[in-house]
Order: sequence, then C-alpha cells, then structure tokens
Amino acid sequence: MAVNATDIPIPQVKIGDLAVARVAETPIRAKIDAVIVPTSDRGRAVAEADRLQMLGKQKLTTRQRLEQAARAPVPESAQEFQGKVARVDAISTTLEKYAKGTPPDTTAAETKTRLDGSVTLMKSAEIYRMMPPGGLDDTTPAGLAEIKKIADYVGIPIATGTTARSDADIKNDIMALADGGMASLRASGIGQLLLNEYDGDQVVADAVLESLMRDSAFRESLHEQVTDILSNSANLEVRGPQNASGANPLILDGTKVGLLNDKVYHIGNTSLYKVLDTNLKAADAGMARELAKTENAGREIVNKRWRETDTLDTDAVRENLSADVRTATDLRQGDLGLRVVIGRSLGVNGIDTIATQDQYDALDDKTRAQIEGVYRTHGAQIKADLWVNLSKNIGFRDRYRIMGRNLHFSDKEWEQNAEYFSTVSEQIVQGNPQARALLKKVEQRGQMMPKKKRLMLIALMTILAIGGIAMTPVSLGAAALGGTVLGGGAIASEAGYI
Amino acid sequence: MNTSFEEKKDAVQEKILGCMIKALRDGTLKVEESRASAQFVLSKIDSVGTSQELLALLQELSTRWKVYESVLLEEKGKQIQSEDTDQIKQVQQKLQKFL
Repeated sequence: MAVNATDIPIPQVKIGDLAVARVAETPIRAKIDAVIVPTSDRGRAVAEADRLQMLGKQKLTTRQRLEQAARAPVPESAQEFQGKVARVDAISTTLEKYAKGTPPDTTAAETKTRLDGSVTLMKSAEIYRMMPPGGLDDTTPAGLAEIKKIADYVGIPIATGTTARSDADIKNDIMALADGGMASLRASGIGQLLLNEYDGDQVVADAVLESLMRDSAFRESLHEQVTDILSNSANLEVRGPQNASGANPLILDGTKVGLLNDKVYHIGNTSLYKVLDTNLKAADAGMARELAKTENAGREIVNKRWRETDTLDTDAVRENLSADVRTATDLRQGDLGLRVVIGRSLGVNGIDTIATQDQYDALDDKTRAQIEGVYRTHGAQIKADLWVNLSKNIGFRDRYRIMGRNLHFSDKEWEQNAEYFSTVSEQIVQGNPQARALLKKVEQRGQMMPKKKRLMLIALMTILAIGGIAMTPVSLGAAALGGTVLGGGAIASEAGYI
Repeated sequence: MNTSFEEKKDAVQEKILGCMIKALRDGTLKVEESRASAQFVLSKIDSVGTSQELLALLQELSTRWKVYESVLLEEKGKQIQSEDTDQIKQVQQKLQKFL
C-alpha cells in the first residue's frame, strides 16, 4: 500500500504549544489569500470552489458537500453589520452604567471589557478582510474607492455634516480601528503566547497575528461569537420582581436592551452576565476549534511541491524534490536550507539567491516571520516529509534511468551526502513503523547495481544491439563512447546518474 | 422509491456540485449564487420521486442559474434516449408477434 508523507502522525504536544503551533501557521493562509484579492467576488468564488473540492477529498458525501455549499460564508451587508454592532453597543452602554454605578459593579465592568474587545476585533477583522495585503492607498482612485467602501462597511463617517472629510482622515480612522483590533489580539492570551514563542520579538508575533486577523475562519468565529451574544440575549428570562398578579418572570428583549427600564435591566443583569460569559467562553472554544483546522496548513503547503496533482506531473515533482533536497543538503548548517525550501513553497521573491545565514537574516521581518512560523511548528516534520517523498521517488530510479530520463542526482552527489541522508532517514523512521516499512520497500526495489557492473551491462547491451544490425569497428566505437546508435546515447548519457 | 432512482438522484447531485465548482472557478457563478442554488436543490431533491419531477427540478434550476444548463441537457438527452429504446423495444416486440 502506498504511504503518503502526510499519513505519518503528528507528535502530540502540550496544549500551550499546540495553540502556538496553530496560530503560527496562519501566515500561509495570508499568503494564499494574497494571491487573489480576497475582497473580490472572484477571489471568494475561487476560495469557495477550493473549499468544496477539498471537502470531497475529506470523503464527505455529495449531499454533505451540497449542504456545506448551502452554508457558504457570505459577508453581511454594511447595514446588517452595522445593525449588529449597534445592538452590541447598546448592551455595552447599559453594562457601563452599572460598571460606573454606586457601588461599581465589577462583573458588569469585566463583561463590558470582554464584549467591547469582541466587537473591536470583529470590526478590525472586517477591515483586514477588505483591505488589500499591501495596505490602504489614498493616492489612487482605486485605493480611494476601497477606503470609502471600508468606511461605509464599518460605519466610519465620510462627511462631517455637509462637509466631506479628507481621505487621509478617513484612512486614519480605519487604520485606528484596525490597530485597535490588533492591540486587543496582542494583549490576549494568544498574543502573549506568541510573544513568548518568538522570544519577545513583537514584530514577528505581530506578523503572525495579522495573518490570523486575515484568516476567514477566525473572522467567522468572531462573528459567531457576537451573533450568539445577541441571539441569546433576546428573549432571555430574567429574575424579576413579582408583579401584582403573580411571579411571572420578566422577559428581556435583547433587541431593545438599551431602551429597557433601568431597574428591570439591573435585576436581569446577573443572568445576562452569565449568558455573556457562557457565550464568550464558547467563542473561545470555537476559536480554538477554528485554529485547529489550520493545524496542518504549514506542512501541507510545502508538501504540495512533492505530490502529483492536476498541475504537477511526475517530472515536475521530481524536479522539485531534487531542488529541495539539494538546497536542504547544501545549506544544512542550522537548517538554513530547510528554511529556504519553506520560503520557496511560500513563493518568497528571490529566495533562491539565499546562500548564507546573513542573506537570510537580511530578509524583511514579515517574510522571515512567515518562514519561521512554519519552520518552528513543522520544520522537523517537513524535513521528514521531504525525505519520505524522495525515498518514494527513488524507488523508481532504475526504470527512469533506462528510459533515459534525467533524475538530477549523480552517484557522486549521492555518495558525498550519504552520511547526512542516512541520518535524516534515521530521523524519519524513528518511532514510525509506516515510514520504516516504506523505506525498507524502497531499499529492496531501488537497490542499485555497483557502477562498474552497470557500465559493463550497458556496454554489453549496446554491443549486442549493434551486433544485430551491423558489427563494424566504427559503430562499436560509437557505442563505447556513448554514441547515438540505437538509443545507446540515451542510456550512456544517464550512466552517471542514479 | 427504488434504489436505482435514488442512485440516479445522487449522480445528478454530483453533477450539479461539479458544475457549481467549475462555475465558481470560471467566474460564472458568485458565492451567493452557489449558496442559493445549493439551498434550492436541497429543499427540493428529497421530494422528487420520478424522472419527470427530476427534469422539472433541473429545468427550474437552470432557469434560475444558467450554469446548470448542461446538467439539464444531459438528463434530457438520457431521457429521450431511454424513451427511444423503449419505443424500439415495443416495435421489435410487435414485429416478433407479426412474424
């Protein structure tokens, strides 16, 4: 049975590490998003097509996939979005009254802080959704149109009274809102965890956080959180004072929550806090679930170079494998090569010119953060994947050699790196029976004949082939020199390759 | 309802989904439209019990969203072919009786 590199189980890690691992992989998604303008209908359509196709690979039935299609995430209209924000703001305003009341209600204050944080994050995430990866540009008509569109969506006024506000002011307001969300995320548990992971490097941690903010799954979870708060606040039964006729509980109408009689609302606030708290906790769990979906994203994007697909044939896969193994081997010091391979998979411009650690360090912070994010979370696994995939391919090397195809590795290269290859292979098979079985199979199938014996066989085959037509000293000489008679050249030209 | 018709319905749904993915990729269908068309299919498909009803559903689907026309045409073609086969069989049976 064929074994795919991705079949190899991922080692279990501590919960804290896992959270970091999941978050750290998000730069890749941002990179993918950046390929297509994420706000365009076209970009969303392609992403949806990919999503539906991917669900098929996850063995979902047609019916289940159609059900998923029926629930495709569609951004709300500006009006819907602002309506949602206004309703949450109303709850927040009421909470504030009690937070600042006499005596101050600390539970109300804490709940308000968390609620406001959620809304700020949601607004910020919407801005990042609509903002091009390069940022806002107020110098071109297209850029200005984008600024207006975002302002309209998140409810930033584009005029003061009848006077139009300057584009720069609107842009500043948008960026302030976006930064507010980032600040909230930075201060969150996830933000702190990332900062620790990156040894206090705020620039690197921020790059990862920004990618998280651009992640559609993360955005969805924020919306879910706020929507849950609103829907659960509506028709909430609260402990109210008995009315004249009995003890009917009062019903708190979440849609009018800001307009409710203060006394009634205050009576209900304990229940409301409870609902809010439950929702916020559920949202945290939801966020963790969404982040879990990105668990293998980093590994997947690098692995894609080594697997045959509709757009990547066997030759292209081999070429990628050869290039990546060569890079990983040539720049093995400090795993620089592996980092370059990851950068290559991410499509980093000019990555192939990196040959020293200094050159790598000179890359811009964001690019390095993206590469490091993948390397730190799945570097060891990606290294193993590379070698497992290579092993799978060299199993067919003899067949390809006889067909006269270029396998890109010479005997010399192979021998020079034998020790390193063997070390890495050992790493692959450690604790992994599937990989061990695969390598054994490959060894059996891919056993090479000694070079001398192979050359003798080629010479014999050539002589026999020529002998069948015309055994002349000229043709014999040509064959011996790797001439073109009866394809002898193709065979001989490959003699130097494994 | 017989199993073969259920299988036929499954196959049609598969074609609709394939059409949807292709159209999304080609830029001829928006996400909002794919979502609405999937909701439309799911709301109707369970109550479909005959080939005629299936064709009617596909007719309505392709009227609302042109991208699914190919599924309708294919199913129509199959139905005509099947009717032709039935008619030929009937003629053959008549001929055999006559002979």
